[in-house]
Amino acid sequence: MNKKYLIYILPLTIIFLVFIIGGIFQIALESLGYIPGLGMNKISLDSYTLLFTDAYYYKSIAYALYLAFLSSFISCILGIILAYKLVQSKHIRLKKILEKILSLGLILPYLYMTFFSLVLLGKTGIISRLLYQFDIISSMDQFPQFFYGSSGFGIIIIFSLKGTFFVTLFVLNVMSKIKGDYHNVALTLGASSLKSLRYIYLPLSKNSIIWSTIIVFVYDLGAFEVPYLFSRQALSPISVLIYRSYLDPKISSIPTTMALNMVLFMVGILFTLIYAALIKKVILCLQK
Amino acid sequence: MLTKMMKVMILFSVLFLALGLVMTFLLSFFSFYRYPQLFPSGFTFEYWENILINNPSFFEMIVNTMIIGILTGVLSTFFGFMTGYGLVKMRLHTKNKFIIIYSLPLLMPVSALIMGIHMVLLKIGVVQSLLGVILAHSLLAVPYAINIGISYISGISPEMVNIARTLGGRKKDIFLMLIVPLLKPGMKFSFALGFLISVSDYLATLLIGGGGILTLSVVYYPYLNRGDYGHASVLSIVFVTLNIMLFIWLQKRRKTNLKIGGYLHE
Repeated sequence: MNKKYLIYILPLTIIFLVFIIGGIFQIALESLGYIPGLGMNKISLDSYTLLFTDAYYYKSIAYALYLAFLSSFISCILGIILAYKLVQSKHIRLKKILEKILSLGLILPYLYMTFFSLVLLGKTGIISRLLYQFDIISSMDQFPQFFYGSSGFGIIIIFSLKGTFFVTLFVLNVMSKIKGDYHNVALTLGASSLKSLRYIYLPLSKNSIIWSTIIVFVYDLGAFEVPYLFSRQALSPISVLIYRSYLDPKISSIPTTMALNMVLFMVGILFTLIYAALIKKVILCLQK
Repeated sequence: MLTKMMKVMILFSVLFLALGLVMTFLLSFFSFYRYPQLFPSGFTFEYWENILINNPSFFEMIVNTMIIGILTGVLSTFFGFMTGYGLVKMRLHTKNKFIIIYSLPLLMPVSALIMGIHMVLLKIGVVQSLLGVILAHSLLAVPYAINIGISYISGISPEMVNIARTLGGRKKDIFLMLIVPLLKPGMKFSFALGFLISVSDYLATLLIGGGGILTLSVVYYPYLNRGDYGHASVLSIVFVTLNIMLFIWLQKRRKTNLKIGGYLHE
């Protein structure tokens, strides 16, 4: 490597080392109960033993994984289909409109998406009212409770919506490049639309599919804004527990908060690796 | 078959999007909305007045949001492109390793990332400041900026730089008159993305700002939490208008981008 170019990556690397690696180190220290500023000088594993012996936390982690996995999976599948359809389409005008809608969806913030979904799909939302006006339901209780339930469907709807926009645009970028290079060759050799997706588009856009899905997965795993609005005390994803515990004014809750952070961090890494390997395997299996 | 499905899909998504936006608009002007009625009634300016006029911190909120957003966009783009430039010149193997490290903010749960940054900031002595919030937002945005930077920088043909050099271009001129114009569309895109990430963020602003730094998201969230749709829809409109303005600006630039884009490899 040319040493001269090191100078360009040095500043950001230092910032990353100080704030991100340093931050994780600090979280790890405080999770062990070592907070000298508050007179806590002893290192102990107390907060971890507390977490690992309480079934409540296991449930919370499982719930967070369920929400993140399902929504990123939906985003991944819908994203691939949408991107592929867009690439295949010959209608330039339609394509342009759909692309505009997609990018518009991408720039709407999560919080507005939440408001949006509530107004449309909530129990008293406009869809429920429309169904009532057309006599399909006779009271709002017959409309399914998407939000505020332990199924977390409302959260998944919001996460998937945002995730789909992201995956589609990300994958579309790569797929449109593939189209120029290989599409006509495949067609000449008699490949059907589904076949060219399976043997050409999926394998070649594999990395971008994995990458975008993983980003959505990790984001959904750690995001607390949306689940915080809809989850109850009995069952909340771990990100919400972290936030609640963070707001707790008791000093003794600091190590617990940080231990929860460390656990989420580790779980995140572990499942990201598993998830990435899984998607890769599925795409490779489809090729056979 | 394909186009029919696309048409239906487009129709549905347009309807869905339009319905949501229209409802947001209506809810900001009408206060009475009992269950079976389709659209709200009872015209009022109350919500708009409360947010825009009776609320002394509205101006502060908008200014904060803009300052943090713009600086996040500029900083993340600057560091992203600089780092991207260094990475492009690296060998592929080392480059990939570095890219994974720089993607850490995307691969980490947000709470761990933000609380970690927060603690380091406290150690340094930066408390409840705009600077800390901007730093956190920039760290969230910089992985995207690096990726955009890499794809634009590696798209510049070395031949063009060589030609410029052969024709007697000085280093400074080549940089300012050739490289920068070619990278400009990427920089704009990266800036817009940084701005969007910053405007949409809630957790970092709340934690690092200590609740003392009011931005749109920080003010918006409690209304959403309380189910106060009237005020929330007013803020939604402000929110969406801001983002759509940026979107239009970005789209407008695309036309000139196409001309420059023709020179890019990718």
